[in-house]
Amino acid sequence: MRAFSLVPIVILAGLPVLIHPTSGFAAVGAVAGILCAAGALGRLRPLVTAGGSLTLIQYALALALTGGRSSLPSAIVLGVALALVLDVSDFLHRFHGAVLTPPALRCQAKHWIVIALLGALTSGALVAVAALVRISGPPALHTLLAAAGALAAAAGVAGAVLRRRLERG
Amino acid sequence: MTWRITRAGLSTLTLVAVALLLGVVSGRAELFLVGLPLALRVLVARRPEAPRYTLVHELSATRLFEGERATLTLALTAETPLPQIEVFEPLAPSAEPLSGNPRTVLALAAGETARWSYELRFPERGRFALGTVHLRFWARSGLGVHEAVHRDPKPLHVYPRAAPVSRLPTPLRTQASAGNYVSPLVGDGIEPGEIRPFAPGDRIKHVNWRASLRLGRLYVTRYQQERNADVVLMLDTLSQVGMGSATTLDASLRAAVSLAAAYLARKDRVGLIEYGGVLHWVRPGSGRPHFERLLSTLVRAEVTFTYVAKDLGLVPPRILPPQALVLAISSLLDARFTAALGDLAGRGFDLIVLAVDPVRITRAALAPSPRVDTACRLWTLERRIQIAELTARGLRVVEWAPDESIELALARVGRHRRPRALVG
Repeated sequence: MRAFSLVPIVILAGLPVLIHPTSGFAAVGAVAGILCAAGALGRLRPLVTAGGSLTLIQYALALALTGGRSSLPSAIVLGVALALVLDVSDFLHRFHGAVLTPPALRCQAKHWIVIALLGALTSGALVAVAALVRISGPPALHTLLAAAGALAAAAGVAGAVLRRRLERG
Repeated sequence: MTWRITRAGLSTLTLVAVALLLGVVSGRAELFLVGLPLALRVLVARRPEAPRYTLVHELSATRLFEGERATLTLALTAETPLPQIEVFEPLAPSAEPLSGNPRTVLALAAGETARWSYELRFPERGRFALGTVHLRFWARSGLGVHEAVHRDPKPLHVYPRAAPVSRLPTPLRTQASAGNYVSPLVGDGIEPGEIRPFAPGDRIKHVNWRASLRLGRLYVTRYQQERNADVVLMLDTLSQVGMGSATTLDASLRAAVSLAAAYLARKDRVGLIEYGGVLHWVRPGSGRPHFERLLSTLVRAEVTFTYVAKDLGLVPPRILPPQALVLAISSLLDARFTAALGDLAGRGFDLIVLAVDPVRITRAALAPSPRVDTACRLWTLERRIQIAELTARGLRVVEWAPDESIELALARVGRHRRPRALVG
């Protein structure tokens, strides 16, 4: 299980370096990977969050430095890898020292596969829809979609806060 | 049952926020895409319905001796699907898991039952409360959890370990009930006592035919009665030395249990006085239920600090019968206990003191060094002087090291004792 957690961490740390392969990026990638691995294996969740944040910053920098070239597949892979790193490290943290029965392990493996597939398929579908809108949709639709997205995000945050208050009350 | 969002949810939301922020700042759609699987992880993790289940908790034994094992068996039946259940039973620090694990993660379909067990060893005496099981019903994502506590109290008593003792000091005085000791009184028994001329009312089977033929008239054999005795164990709980379960008090308790079991097996009545900060006692009695009563008292024994010296005159005669053999078990560390022993001897009690050696126990608890060695040697010399003084005052003191057999230590008392005159 511990060895398995290293697979998405390697992908997470290596992807920004593949986009912009310099020694400086490799060093930052290594630091992010070490932070994530230390967090996952040492059961320190803040380290995993810090490693993930560092990877995202590095990825944003890599995209900015490579210029206008789009890299949507790498974003999908990075997103899925990040979700898996969080899930696996959390699983290791939760059940450290416990006996895991085979049905429980099977159930968790299924959940990871579902999360990875769902993330990849939803992202792919979104990219396809975005491409379709860009090619065939009127320019005003871009603005409308952006506004709808912003409103949905605001509604989501308000809903989460309201639900939290209701649960407390 | 409570439901809460875990810290993993906060961690995920933080990373989503970082991705969105970077996406807005850099103006790159890729960063929004990176945040999408994370956001999906949160959206998919809806709150599951309240779990329904049945948990059965079984304990193989409720009473054990130190070092014995008990098996705990749990059976969990799911009434609703339970994709990830964490079951945990907190145990006493001294309990050693031998097989299995008190923390298990399971996945059960509706109607399915999981049964598992684990074996524990209890190396230290004490009263343990088992049967409180904590259950966590995790959402598969780990972002939310239902928590519940199942309480089915199962008390477990771990008694001090008893060692077999076959040769014991014989009490000087016997009681009225039948027992294993030959009494000076004549009556019914199997040990021949005296021969006297036949008198009306004597039973024919008691006629001593050999003596009758030799002396030309009927003689009958009188037999000595077989009687039991009262034994009172007096335990010193004023002070102790040592670490963990290797203390002078623990050694004293083991000796007390061994002696109680051996005397009760001889049909004697055994009582107990716990002489410490609080005076506890058990009236002399016999039989298996009485042994259980003594064990229940001994398992609770502990040192309670006090400045007050307890007066043994307060102990009622039914607890401390005047004819009883008093076996005092003490490390002789507290002068108040030594004074109480002098009081008992002065009142004419048949008294034997089993002096538990605190030096060996302390030495075992400390790291070996020349300073410890010197201190222990000096302490041993001081104890020898103390025991010599007590012996000179008329007390029978037997030194006992806990790694030595009690039987061997008590053999130094001698089987045939006579009452000693008290010097002062």
